[in-house]
Amino acid sequence: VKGEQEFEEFFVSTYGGLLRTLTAVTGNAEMAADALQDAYQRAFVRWSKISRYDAPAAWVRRVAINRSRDLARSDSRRRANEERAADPELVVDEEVDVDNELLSLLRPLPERQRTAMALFYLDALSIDQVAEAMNISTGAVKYHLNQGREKLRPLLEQRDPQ
Amino acid sequence: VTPNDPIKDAFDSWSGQRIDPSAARAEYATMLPGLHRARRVRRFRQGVAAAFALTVGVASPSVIASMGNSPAVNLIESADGGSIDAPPAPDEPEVVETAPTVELAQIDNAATTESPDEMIEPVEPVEPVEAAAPVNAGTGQSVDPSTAPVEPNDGSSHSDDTSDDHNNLGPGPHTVVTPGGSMTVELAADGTITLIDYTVADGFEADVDQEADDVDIVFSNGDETYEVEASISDGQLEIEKDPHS
Repeated sequence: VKGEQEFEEFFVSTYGGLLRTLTAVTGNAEMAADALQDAYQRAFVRWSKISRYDAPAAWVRRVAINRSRDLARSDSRRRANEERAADPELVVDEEVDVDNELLSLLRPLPERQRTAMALFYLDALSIDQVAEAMNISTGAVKYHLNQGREKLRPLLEQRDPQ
Repeated sequence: VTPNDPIKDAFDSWSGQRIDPSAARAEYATMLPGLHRARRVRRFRQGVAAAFALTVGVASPSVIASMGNSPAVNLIESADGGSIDAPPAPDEPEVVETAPTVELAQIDNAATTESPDEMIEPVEPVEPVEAAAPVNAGTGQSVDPSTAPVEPNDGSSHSDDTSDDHNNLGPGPHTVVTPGGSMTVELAADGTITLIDYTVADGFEADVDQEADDVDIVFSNGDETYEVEASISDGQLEIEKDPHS
């Protein structure tokens, strides 16, 4: 019971931030919630071990990002199949009601750039931490961040010309 | 990041998905039954693995052979460094006829105190095994169990058996195989886990998370995800395989 209470506090203190990040990474609030649920579930069943880590939230974030990639791939295949099978006009996106402004800005970016941007700007992780979360080198993180900035800048100027 | 960085401002001003602690607690309450279910499944798998080993003996070759291409074969065979016990004499009664489904359920119930109607993940019965010399799972030919090599699984097929957690493994390299790839680890003399090798099946990607006391590899191809994890518990090596697709 003690471990479960501890896990609940961990969940309450980390869920909101991770959900925001995962939503920005995936561009899809529902997918983000599913990926996070899977990650927290895995943390829960291993809690006696994971609770001893320096940063259990980093473990959950990393698992959730990996899981979100799986879900995104499955989702794109499912959508492709649906669109082939159905009248295109009848295919409707189911989206959770969220502020989509940032998501629509990030959507054109490749997944790695989106992830690096979200971890760096939303989670306020350092370059090293982003590299660890994405399992890539710090040089690669810098590259993805630069590329992401280069693509976002004109979009922001277009949106808010002043 | 500069003080007037418009990109940072765009992220900072994003109002999407702001969850306050009370909403997070409500979300946790919604998620809790799923968390408990996941824990039961994990304990059930661990119970199945333990009971299976107890019931059939750690390396009854005829049972191993009957499991065909199951990843468990590699683990069990390599548990003592590659050798396996002698097969039962032909006139000995066969120990295992079917999987110990009832006993496993009882063990799990005892461990979790959950009601039986919440049990999930039924166990497929193991095919009855003839009392005979062990056979090579791939070729069907008889093999000498004392010299039988540890055949790597090519991942082209796998058993539906989900009893894939293996505890308290002995010294020597241990290989666990999933359809997404394989991992070979060893418990080093200093008590840490060494990742000796891993392979990735065609179409899969591997995400390797390596710590001194824990090696975790997730193989995924978009549709299927398999996780293998080696950890240390009470000084013993434990390997778990989690097929979740």
